[in-house]
Amino acid sequence: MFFSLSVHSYCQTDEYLMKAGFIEKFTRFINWPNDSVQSDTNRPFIITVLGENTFGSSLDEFYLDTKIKNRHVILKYISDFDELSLCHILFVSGNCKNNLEQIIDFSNKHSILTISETKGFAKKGILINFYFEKNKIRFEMNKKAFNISNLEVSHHLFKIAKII
Amino acid sequence: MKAHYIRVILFLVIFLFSKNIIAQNNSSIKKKEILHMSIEDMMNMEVVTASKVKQKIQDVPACTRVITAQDILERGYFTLEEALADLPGFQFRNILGFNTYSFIRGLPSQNNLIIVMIDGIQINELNSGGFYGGGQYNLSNVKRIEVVYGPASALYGTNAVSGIINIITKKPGSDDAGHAGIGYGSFAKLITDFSYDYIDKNNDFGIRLAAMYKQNEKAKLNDENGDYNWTNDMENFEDNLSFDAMVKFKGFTWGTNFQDKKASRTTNYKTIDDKYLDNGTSWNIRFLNSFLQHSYNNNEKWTNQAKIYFRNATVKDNTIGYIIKADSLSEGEQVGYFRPNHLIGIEEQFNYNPFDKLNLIAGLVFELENLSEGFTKSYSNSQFEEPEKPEKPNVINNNLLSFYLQSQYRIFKTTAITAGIRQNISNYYGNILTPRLALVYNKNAFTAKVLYNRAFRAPKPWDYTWGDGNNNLKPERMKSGEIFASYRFAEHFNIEGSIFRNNISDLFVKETIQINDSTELNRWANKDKVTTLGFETGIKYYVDKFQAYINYTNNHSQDKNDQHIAEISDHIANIGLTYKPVSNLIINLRANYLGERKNPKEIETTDSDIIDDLVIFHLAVTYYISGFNIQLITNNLLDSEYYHTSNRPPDRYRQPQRSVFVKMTYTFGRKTK
Repeated sequence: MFFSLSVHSYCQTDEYLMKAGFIEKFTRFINWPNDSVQSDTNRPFIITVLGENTFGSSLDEFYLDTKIKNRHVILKYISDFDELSLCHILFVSGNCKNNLEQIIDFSNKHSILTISETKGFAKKGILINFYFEKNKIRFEMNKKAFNISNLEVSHHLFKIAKII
Repeated sequence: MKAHYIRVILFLVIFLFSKNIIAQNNSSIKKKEILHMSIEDMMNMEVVTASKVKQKIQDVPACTRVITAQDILERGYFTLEEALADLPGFQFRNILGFNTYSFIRGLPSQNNLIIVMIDGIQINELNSGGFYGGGQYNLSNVKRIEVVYGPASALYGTNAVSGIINIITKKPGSDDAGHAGIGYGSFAKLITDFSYDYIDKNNDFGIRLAAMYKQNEKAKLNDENGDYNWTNDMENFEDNLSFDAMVKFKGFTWGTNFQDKKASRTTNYKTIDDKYLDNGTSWNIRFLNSFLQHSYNNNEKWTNQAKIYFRNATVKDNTIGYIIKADSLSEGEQVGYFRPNHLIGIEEQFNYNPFDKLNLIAGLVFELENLSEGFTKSYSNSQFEEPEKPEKPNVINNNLLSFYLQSQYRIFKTTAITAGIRQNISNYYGNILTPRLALVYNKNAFTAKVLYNRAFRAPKPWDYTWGDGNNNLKPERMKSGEIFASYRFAEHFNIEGSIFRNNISDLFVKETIQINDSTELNRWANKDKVTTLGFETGIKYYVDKFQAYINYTNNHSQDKNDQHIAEISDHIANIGLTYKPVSNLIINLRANYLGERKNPKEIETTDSDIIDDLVIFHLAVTYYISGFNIQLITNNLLDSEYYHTSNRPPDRYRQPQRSVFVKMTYTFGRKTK
């Protein structure tokens, strides 16, 4: 019934725990440029969530003791583009539509892997975008945008993604 | 001595090797499973996105609190009320018999101002509209219990006055592959439960079955233990059998919940120096809910959910309601009761997101109910002889058509406004319209909600026919306003608070009309008005090994003459601590405080109408080893003597003494196709 409103809010934990897991998996297929700050193995791995935090506590739960590329993970939650600083992965929420262009420009310049879950965002230049197909999580990748980003991506990831 | 050392060493070895074996339904296991999956496997996993209404708890236009499966397990809850008791705002009248009554936010009732649902289908008794408290809920098969505070008739129609309790059962494939458990403890407390879960991801098929048998004697209440109301022969047992089944196939879900409850009715009456016998009674009630649901959610802009459901709530014809003792004038008598009721309903819900800022939900509900006009009774001619089965009662056929619409519009990035309305058209209680309005603000770690709701409770056959009956009853009506706020100070520290004001008018009260010196009429009547002003506040702190919560509620309820409402305390507080010294050991200590409250009548043994305040401690220790978990649960740890109020012949109800219970459960590993 109507309860799905609140029911769903808790069910999302499962969905977003999975999405947190997908993010970790992506990093196994992606390398940051050797000359970039992100490739410095002495620094922590930074994931930033921009805009509405649809993950709830799932990212915190997942990365509490999970490392990426053998590096500790730091999570940042910011609401405005102005607060954005250098990171490895930027999760762009659906309510960032208005300054998407700025976000993509900044990310491309600084070799940031952008991920979203909003229809149409990949076409606009977000590198990876989650979507659903029969209750299963799928992702689409913008190959052209990857070329601009200087990120090195395994062909395997392109194989299992929907390419746009 | 050597054997002793060997035993100690063996224990330490097992202890150390089992450190990493922890509950399989713990979320950390899920995370580990994800980490060990390939990305292809992850893409084959179905995730729970029931309606694709992407709304976080912070955005829900209501004050909502949750009890998780982990809470249920770690705290060793045996009944639904035990689980609710640790939340803010709950008070109880436990008569230690066939029912327990729960009050949210300062409003006493016969459990008919709250809706309890299992997987979204109401389980309130159909004839009275009140739900049954007790042990018949199979808590080992519960994924979580969601409690919505405040009125919600704009969503659920009648009876959604002081809150909604939605019990969500475990879905096929969403949790363990099954379990078997057995437990035994003081007061002849016995429980055995099991579940079986199978999922075939390739064919989108899953099945989950769960069953439970539970029994207990509720407390020692003979002689001085129960204010000299009952003899040494008294019974106050409760036996419960429960069965859940759920089958999922592609977009279809079929679910069934069956509960069979038998409980002594001794505590309804005094028996020492009275005509009633305090053993041999049995209130036998059966609930059967079943639904078939189809969900379509493959479209980004809209989703659709269609559901057909059946509900049966029957006081069975082998019920013995009370027994009159033999005396010099008669052999006494046993009295049988019978009251069958059932309902069939359909619901269609459509969810539409025309653009990012707007979400619309529209629904249509049609229900046909066949309710008994009242109990039928049968009488034997002896206290030792069972009566014949009562005849089938006359049946009332009711129909209800409801439609609802809710829109949520995001005015700014941080702010959403929700407006909703539900129109109920019933051939039984007429047309009633209930609106709701909510404003929700979210920025970073801060959430604020301003809520306005109206609600109603329509009279049911039981209300019309109770005592000498009253055909002129009107629905009770509630208006409610609330401001809710929460703030997450740090990653693991959350504080929340809520201020509310509720006004309920045309409230049912028991009315006694003196016809003449020897005759009086008893019935329900729309006589009172209750205003409640209150606030709730709570803090939660959780780090890896340590979790703590504390909540406090202050609610002041007064009637139309500005008199404090009986049975309601102004103060409620709960505190709980969970400590995990090693990963396979969980220690939970919690306490419930309730301030003093007025009893509906004078208590003979104390010469007062005040029930004293109480503090009760409970301890649960859970230890995991090789797929087993072993629990030691002690309720009322300090063996405190405390009482609940009474609106029945006994003046007050002594609550259970200290009880100790041991349970062992084995959880099966998952086999998937």
